[in-house]
Amino acid sequence: MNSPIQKQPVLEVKNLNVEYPVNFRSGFQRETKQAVIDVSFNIFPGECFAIVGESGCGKSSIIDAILGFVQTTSGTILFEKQDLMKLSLQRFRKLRPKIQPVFQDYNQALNPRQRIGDIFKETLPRNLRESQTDQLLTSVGLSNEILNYFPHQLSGGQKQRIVLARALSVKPSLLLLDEPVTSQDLSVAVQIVELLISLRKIMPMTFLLVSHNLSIVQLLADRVAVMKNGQLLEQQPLSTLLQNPKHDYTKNIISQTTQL
Amino acid sequence: MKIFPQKILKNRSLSSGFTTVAIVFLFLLLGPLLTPNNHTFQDLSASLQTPSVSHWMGTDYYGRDVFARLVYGGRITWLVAVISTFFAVCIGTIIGLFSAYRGGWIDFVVMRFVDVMLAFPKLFVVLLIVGLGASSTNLLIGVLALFSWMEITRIVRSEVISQKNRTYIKSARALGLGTPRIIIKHILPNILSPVIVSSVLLISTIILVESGLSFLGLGIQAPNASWGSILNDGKIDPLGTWWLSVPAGLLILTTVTGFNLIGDGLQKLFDPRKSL
Amino acid sequence: MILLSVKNLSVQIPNHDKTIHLLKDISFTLKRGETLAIIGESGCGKSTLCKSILGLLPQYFQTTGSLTVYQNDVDIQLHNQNDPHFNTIRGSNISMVFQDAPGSINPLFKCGQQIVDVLKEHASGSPIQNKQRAIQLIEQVGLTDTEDIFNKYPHQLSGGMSQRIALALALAGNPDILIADEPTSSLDVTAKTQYLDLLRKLRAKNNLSLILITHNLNDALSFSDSILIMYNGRGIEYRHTADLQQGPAHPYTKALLDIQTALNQGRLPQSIPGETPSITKSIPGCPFHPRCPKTSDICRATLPQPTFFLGNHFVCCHHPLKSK
Repeated sequence: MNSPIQKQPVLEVKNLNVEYPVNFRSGFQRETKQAVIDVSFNIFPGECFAIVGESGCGKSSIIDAILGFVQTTSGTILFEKQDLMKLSLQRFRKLRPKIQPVFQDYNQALNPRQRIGDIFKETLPRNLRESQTDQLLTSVGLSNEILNYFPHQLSGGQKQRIVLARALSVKPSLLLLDEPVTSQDLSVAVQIVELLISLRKIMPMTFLLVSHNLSIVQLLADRVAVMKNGQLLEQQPLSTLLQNPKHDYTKNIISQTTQL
Repeated sequence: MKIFPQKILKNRSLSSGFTTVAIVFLFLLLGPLLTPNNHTFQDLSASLQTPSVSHWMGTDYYGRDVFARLVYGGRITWLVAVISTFFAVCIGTIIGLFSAYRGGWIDFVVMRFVDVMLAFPKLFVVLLIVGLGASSTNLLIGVLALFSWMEITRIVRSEVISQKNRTYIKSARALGLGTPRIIIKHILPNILSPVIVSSVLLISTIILVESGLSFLGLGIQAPNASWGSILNDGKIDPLGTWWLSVPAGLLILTTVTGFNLIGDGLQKLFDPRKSL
Repeated sequence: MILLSVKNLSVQIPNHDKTIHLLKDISFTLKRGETLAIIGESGCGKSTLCKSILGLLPQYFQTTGSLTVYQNDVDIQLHNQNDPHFNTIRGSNISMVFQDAPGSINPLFKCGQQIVDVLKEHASGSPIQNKQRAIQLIEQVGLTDTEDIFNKYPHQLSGGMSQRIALALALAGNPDILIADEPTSSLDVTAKTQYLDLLRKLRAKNNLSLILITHNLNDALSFSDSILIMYNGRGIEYRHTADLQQGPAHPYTKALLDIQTALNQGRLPQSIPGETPSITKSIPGCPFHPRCPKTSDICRATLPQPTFFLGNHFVCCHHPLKSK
């Protein structure tokens, strides 16, 4: 694994709180659920920072908050020194290509009525389109003939690769990977992990990886944070976390993951 | 794409609907070639004649050739129905798309406006227009469209809401694509199926509404004909002057059934239950 | 005592120019108290296999081969998916927990009521007895606040809880065989461990035979007595779990085991080159040959027939890594 370069962080999250309204009753009383409670972390250029925790612990909410898909938050999210929550809608939209998500649900991540080739027509400038499309497809291990297909004609692994290629086509500085291989078969998951590792070698890439699967996280992450019930319990470099976990919860996850 | 024509043929609703509508369409298209008679020419001496060689469907109270009136009246009925449907669908889709995608208070306000429009006494407006003597075919089209777009908006809105939070839309937003592009290129193609089905069914609804209004004398005005107004002519003695009431009624029935069958067949065609 | 016997089961969808073969010559048996894990990747036909055992496939699917179920001291042959015998088998003899467990519960009725409905079908008890039994079942699947849950609607329960209710529904008819289709694929580690422990308890208590469909090797290896590996609609290896773990016979099995072992040890696994073939593609010869390190000419041309081990265990490979 590449060791994190000590420069300015790409992403700084400080005291982030995310609430969701629950049971919206017409009127003024709203119950809210705290999904993320006072979370802070930094991600440095070139590193893979992972957040590990069970379903419902709030890790996906962090990604939604960074992408601006949830409104009720407090705290700051600084991307390349810009406060995402204070930006105007227009400026935020201009910044979006730099922070690209790869969602868990690859089956629904592609427009069912759009051919694969048209995806790249949307994201790439006309003059460089052909060469860059070829480059992108090669970098994710796919061939040109896929451009004519519709998503339903692709396998799960191919869909996930296209999602990745699409994210890469807008030249992001930060990739947000939300359970990228959890719903995939074992052999496909390994291929995707290999792909992610090779991409990190070819181009400068910063990852925020969110997963409940510690065995996958182990293969990719430089630093790991453990999350439970909306809070970060600990943040450590990967090896330190595996050898000297501070919390019992972390010890629990580690022991349950490594069997046989 | 090879399976496509097979699918249509196997789909009995679709094929029988298409056939029915096509037959009526041909009738309307080729009708003038079949009879030399003018549909507005009055010949009071030949009033209320039963069907004969010179007047295939007889004549009405003013001696006008009923066959010709059925053809031209049918054209007007269809034209009114198709054009009002077109406008209703355009208005309804645009309002539904933007209101639902925006959500929040915009959506709230728009839907309350839709509720008001749905509750509005439409007949009253029509009566007012006719009473003021301002009735014309164009105005009729406008009024019909004005009171039909809400249904389409509701359907579009529920479809947009179901698509809005799907992962591919979230991804499109994350890519930085603009709202108009997302709505038109990503959401619209994925909601077309129910909209198309509703549009086809709306055509048959409007045919019935227009025929009803014309029957009451509130729709298409003389000297223009419409199937509804021909029915109106026949109402004094429907059994006696059967050539006035029966053909027009049958044409309405057939056309509406035809379009309903097409709508039904399209619904089956678009049904995503293609499971292995 | 063999409760279920599947021999050369094939399922296809007839389509004028190209028939789609979903299952090809599947064979295995299940004894009382035995747990069989069926392992395979997406599109290999595992769910189709489960549904065919319960007669849940659409009518126009063609099935050939034999399916025999042991019920009330009699062997019942099931001839096709419309066989009326299925009605006596479902729920009382063989039961299933579906992959989308929360989606398999009717959202319109309360949970307790649905369990009682199953009991009414399979047991003859008074309404009070049925309600008590239903509450017992809710307790057995590891839920507390049983009265409360009895009166709740499915949407009021969390994902994990509705999964257990689906289990209770499956067990209500007191079946001999329980089929669990990917019960843990959407669960994280803690929830998965809890669920599998629950299955172990129930298995011991009711002397259940289990068919566990999964693509997680760890679960399969720790939980089952025998394993059937499926690839592209075929059974390519069928062995005792212990034997398979010590010496996999098929290169695909070995590759999967190596991947899982590497992941368990925190190493980067060796990936299997190529893509899992879609069921609509027909591959000449052995279906795994495009991706197999041991491919030779015969693999490309001829479909390997089963090489048998003890009993009915087998491997389908021209170059098996192990043969008895």
